[in-house]
Amino acid sequence: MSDTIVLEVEELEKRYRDFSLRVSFRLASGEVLGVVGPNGAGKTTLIHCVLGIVKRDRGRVRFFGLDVDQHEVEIKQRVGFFLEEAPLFRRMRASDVLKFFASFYPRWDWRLANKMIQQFELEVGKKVGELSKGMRAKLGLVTAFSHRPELVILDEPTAGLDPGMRRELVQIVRELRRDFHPTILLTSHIMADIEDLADRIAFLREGEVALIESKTQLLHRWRRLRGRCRDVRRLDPGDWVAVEHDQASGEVHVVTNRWSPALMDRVREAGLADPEVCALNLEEIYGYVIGARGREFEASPAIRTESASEWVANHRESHR
Amino acid sequence: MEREALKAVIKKYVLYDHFFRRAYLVLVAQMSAILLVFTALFIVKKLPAAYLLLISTGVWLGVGLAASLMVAGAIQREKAEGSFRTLRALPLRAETLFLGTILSGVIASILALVPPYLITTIGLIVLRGWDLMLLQIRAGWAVLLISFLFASAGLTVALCVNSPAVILNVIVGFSTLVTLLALSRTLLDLRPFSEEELLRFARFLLSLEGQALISAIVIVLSGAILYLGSRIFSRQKSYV
Repeated sequence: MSDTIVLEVEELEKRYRDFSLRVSFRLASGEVLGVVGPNGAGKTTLIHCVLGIVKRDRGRVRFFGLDVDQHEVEIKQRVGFFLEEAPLFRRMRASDVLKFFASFYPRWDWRLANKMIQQFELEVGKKVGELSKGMRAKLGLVTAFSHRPELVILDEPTAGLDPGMRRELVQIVRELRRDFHPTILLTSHIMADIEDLADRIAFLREGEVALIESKTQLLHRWRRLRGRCRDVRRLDPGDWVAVEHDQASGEVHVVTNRWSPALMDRVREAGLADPEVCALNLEEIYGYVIGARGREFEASPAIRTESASEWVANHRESHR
Repeated sequence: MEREALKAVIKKYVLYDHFFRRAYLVLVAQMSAILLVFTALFIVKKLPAAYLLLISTGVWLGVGLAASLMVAGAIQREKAEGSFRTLRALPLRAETLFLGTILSGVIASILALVPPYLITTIGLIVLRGWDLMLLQIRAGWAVLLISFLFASAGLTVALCVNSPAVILNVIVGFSTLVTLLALSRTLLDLRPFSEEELLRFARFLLSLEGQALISAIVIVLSGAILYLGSRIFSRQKSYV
């Protein structure tokens, strides 16, 4: 990973009658940014706006330092994409789809494409509509990676696949990443995929980035402190992401997104006896940022998107 | 304009799309077979060659218009399936995609015209309709122009409109306009054309000057539709 910015989305705005998308983020070379969020959060709209399938109302999108409106073709030749449910041309043979894609990319590598076809056991003589969902997804990956793109945009690549195929696809993406280190922008609502692939995660909620942070930092900073407490009211909810009282065990769970060992003294002072620190997984963090407990999280002072200086600092930290 | 991208879009619609290719070949084969039967009948029964040319012109027109309609259908099908957005994500400008698709329709129309045109030519030669050969060329040119105009208008609508309901409205609106034009003489109580005026008009249409003028009008009209269509298409808010 380097500090070179491959994709810069600046105050991108897209308004619909009942929904608006407003996002800003940067993507560094070699990095994998996972965008997560529930259905309707704006993940696909974001990808469509970035790729020019949907026109944005406001904001700027720059790839490799070039403005997408002025250098569309030049930029897209360096970008691979996989759209949700791989909407490739159902009435065309898979081999014709590949020939069709190859004619748009000067750097298309047939050797790599054929290697992937063999590895994925793709039946390229079949029409796309006759292929299974998993095979269509694999074909989508061949079209996305065969020109050795510098940036790959993957929109829900594992949506609708069975767990076995999903694992296989994630493994393929991981191997492709290892082989030629592209930068990847990945959207998914399956946290396990994001956990497997992403370096940094953006949580999208109702069209806005609720939180964007490196995976390492997220897992490090988000913790649950568990212990017994005589007076729960002493734990000020404003200081924590969530304060939960487990009626069954009588324990109090305090969730923080700013974990440091010094925090132990604060919870002890607040009356939490013998606090035990537990790690949160991404699924749980997602639950607090996006899910039912989102409102509580919103009240937390830690909710934010990155500023440019923070991005550089965070990015360096995650790189280390 | 990216030439390779343009070629790829044309190939995609005319060659790679299985459904289109099969339907297209069936259409051309069926119409050619029908015309072949008619031509054989004309030859066996020694019927006047002029009638063969009249029937043939109808067949050419039908094939030419149907071919571009089929490309329009393929575009709408891709929009409904969601695969059309893949085209916009590829490295090609919206204008190139627009022009490539229109050219696909025009090329499909021209190619569809070739077999029935050749059948008519053979029929006219066998029927010794030498005096009709020039008229055949002119009729062929006229069909080509109409097909071009139809492809420009039909495919522009198919590309710029995402909803089938809007397409239906466009067709209904267009039909209403044509009906109104047809009824305008009665509605506005205009004097009907005399036989002599009609004959003079027909002669003008068949003259070189008349054909050149009408060709120019149709080409300019098609060009205007394409220019407008290209601008609308490239400024569309969504290609989904």
